[in-house]
Amino acid sequence: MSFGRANQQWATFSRVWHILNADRQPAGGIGVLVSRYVQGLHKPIYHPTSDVGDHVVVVNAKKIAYSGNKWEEKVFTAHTGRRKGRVRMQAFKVHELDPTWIIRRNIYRQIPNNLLRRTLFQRVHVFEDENVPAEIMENVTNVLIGPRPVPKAITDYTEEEKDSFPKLFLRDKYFLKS
Amino acid sequence: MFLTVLNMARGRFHGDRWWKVMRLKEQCQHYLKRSLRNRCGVAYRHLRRALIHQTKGRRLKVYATNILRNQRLEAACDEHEIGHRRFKRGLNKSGVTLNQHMLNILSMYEPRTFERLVELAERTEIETVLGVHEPLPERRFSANKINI
Repeated sequence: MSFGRANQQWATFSRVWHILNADRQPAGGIGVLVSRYVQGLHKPIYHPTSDVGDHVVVVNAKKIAYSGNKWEEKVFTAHTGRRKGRVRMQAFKVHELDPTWIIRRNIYRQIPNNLLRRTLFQRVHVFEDENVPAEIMENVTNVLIGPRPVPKAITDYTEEEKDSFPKLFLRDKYFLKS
Repeated sequence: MFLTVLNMARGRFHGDRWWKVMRLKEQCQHYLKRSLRNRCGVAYRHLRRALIHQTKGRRLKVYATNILRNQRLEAACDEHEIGHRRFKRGLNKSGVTLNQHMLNILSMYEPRTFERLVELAERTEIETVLGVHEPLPERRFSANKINI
């Protein structure tokens, strides 16, 4: 094999590390996207028995978004197997106890239920905020775009943009509670 | 394996049972258990099951390869930033009758050809459906693109 072709071969078959920012993204959509990259379904050389999956680092897991009232209304259930062992917990409580649990559960369930699932799940690294260990960060070479186009929050606007934004009425001391 | 046709034919038609056993054993030589390599009654059961699986598997293999080829084509279209349905529609309209197998090979080994096919599909759809020649967006060839 010639010099250029050997390089191409190495590049095609190497295991790539991706990073994904979960800020204001839906938990289910992240599960679908991450499981796709971890199995290797984004590569035209994919085969279920050959090891073509990549690593994915998910960052800001604490800041995922649920639409509607799901934080209060969505309930996660479990049973310990003993008597009176049914556990029911609302989504916001689960998120308080372990901020990475919801995302990890979604990703695990999207990976197909076979003997490869646990190995592939070990290649998913979820962190609640932006503090990623240096050993993992030095491997990352690619950025993934989340499934939802992120809307701009009030904290993203600069002071100049806020001042120059058109106002409907001027603030008057008479109309404001002091 | 039998070195002469005479030997092969000998065990088939009411011949010596030894030759029949030999014909069975040559299928089972790769089995790991010693009992399966030497005891023909036990080996016959395993071999028969294996051949039944192979017969049934011929249809399943076609089913599985179709699924795999579709997954690979979707991945290739994703790399080139086009929807896979749009790609197939455009190719159909322009009269390109490459099947999934060939498209997979092109996307793996002939990436620049595949890029031109994607462009052909897009242009065909724009020109036949909209009837207008629109300029296509600038295209970079790299996987996992980010729009900055």
